[in-house]
Amino acid sequence: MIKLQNIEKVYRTDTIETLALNGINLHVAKGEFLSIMGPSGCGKSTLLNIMGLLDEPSNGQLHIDGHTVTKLSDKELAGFRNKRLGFIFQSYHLINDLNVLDNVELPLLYRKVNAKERRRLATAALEKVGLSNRLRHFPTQLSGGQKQRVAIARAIVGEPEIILADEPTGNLDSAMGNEVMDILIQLNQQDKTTIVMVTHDEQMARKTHRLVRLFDGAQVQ
Amino acid sequence: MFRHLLKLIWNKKKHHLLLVVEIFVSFLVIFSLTSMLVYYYRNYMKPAGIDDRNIWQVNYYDVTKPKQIDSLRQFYAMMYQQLKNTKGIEEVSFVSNNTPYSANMHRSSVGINKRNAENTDIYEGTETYASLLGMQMESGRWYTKDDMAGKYPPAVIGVALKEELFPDKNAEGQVVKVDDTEYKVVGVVKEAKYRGDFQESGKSVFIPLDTSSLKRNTTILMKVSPAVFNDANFEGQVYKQLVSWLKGVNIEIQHLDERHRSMDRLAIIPVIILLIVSAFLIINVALGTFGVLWYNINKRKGEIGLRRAIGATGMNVNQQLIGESMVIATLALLLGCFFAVQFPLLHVFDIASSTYIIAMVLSVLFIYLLVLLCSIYPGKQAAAIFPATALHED
Repeated sequence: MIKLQNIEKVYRTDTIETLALNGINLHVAKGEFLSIMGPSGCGKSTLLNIMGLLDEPSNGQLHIDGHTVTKLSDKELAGFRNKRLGFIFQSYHLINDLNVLDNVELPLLYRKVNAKERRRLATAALEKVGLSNRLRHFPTQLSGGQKQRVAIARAIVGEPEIILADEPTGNLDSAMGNEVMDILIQLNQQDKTTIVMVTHDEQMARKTHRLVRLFDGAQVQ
Repeated sequence: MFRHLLKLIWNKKKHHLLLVVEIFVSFLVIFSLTSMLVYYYRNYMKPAGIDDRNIWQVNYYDVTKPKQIDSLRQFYAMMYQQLKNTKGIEEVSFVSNNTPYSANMHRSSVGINKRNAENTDIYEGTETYASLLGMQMESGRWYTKDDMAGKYPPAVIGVALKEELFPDKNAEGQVVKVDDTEYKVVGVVKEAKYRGDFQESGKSVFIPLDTSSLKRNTTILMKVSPAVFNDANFEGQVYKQLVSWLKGVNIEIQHLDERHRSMDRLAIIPVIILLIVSAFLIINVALGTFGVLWYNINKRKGEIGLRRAIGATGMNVNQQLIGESMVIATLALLLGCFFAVQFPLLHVFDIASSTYIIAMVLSVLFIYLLVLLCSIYPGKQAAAIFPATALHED
């Protein structure tokens, strides 16, 4: 599903050159739930951003579902992210000025989906994460766990094949973290969604199919 | 997408209130300015209706000596003849003091039966009035001495008054009441811009001046040949001649074209004041829009990053920020238009509704253009933000 070949990422300033990722070769199979672990600054999020087409590798090739995506235009990349990828972030990235339903509808705004259909899909996604009773609430009125569930609903509303989660339980207590993790496992098992999750939590990582460890930008496991 | 933008702005209405008020106030000031400019432009494009070249205006004040009416008429008839016979003077007319480009006004209601035209300018002058000022007839003719012998004294009305009193019929032969005296209309004269190039001619009626009226007969208009118009010696000679006739009276000779220019300058003053106020407000709106967008980009980097992650292109982000500014401007303009539309509805200042409507459209376009220009650069900057960077910085 996702194939990384010799991925390198170098951050350059006038004086310093930092190698964030060094020769990463990774293959994520369709329907796999993969977790990435490693100490802070080892390049986990950078790797996830590259897989999510949010960042470009300095060297190497990235293939998603057989497509070489490293040379796509801005418009093609945006379309690819919109239709095939879903994102979940540690800090949720919800828009506080929009209610839960409008937040979940967001990815559909960038597709040709009419308002009625958007509403139906968003409501269905929120039902899936158990938040159908919070449609008109604003993010500031929700707990951390609820916010993350809204973010999951937003990630799955467009029915993507791949979900990229950057420390989805990082801001949550263990109970809420487990709730969120259960939803992700359910999505993986029932909908066969491919999930790549960056985490610091060994216990959460053990619940996934496979664990990849990074250290200083290189894959060590 | 528009509904989405509207929702975003509406949910942040308190945050945008100041900018909405600023745009609203700016719109009203720009609307006032454009109303004035459109009004001036439309008037300017109309024919002047008066040929003010080579005309002297003689004002004589303090005519206190009472005289017999008949001898007064004879006196002014003699004066007319003498002046007319003077080489260099082509035409002479005794007129009331509300001459072209003068601040003096004589307004009243002019009517026929139950129909009255309010605020009609009443001008008085002897038979040579129209030919001296180069005024053109629309229909009929100007009054002559012979008309004075009829049952009713004669009157000439302007086109605007004709349209109001006799929209569907000939005005000639109709009797109108002016200041409680009935006059018979003998002609309709084309509109003349009495208050300068930028002001409307308005409704007007012209009636003969009784030279024995010390109250009305205060001004002489003289058309002189171009050769002597600026000749100080000739002017001095005429002045001496007038002093010899009007003993003990203050006499002043003015050039009508100078009065014309002075009147036009006076009309420009409020435009200049409004221009200064508008410029100040435009700068405020420009800085306000620019500032809000700049703040938005820095404050909403996370949101920008998120939108890029879920499928927005750089262009989408750019369009969204510009769209938000446009929605803010639209809210302010809706409020502004609500107030502005009262002007044509209530016929404020008796100006044509179309003038206000054109001004409204121009003001709306101007505000949109201003907001668009101020949004382009911040929008481009936002579009250029790399999604990973934006998500990381939030």
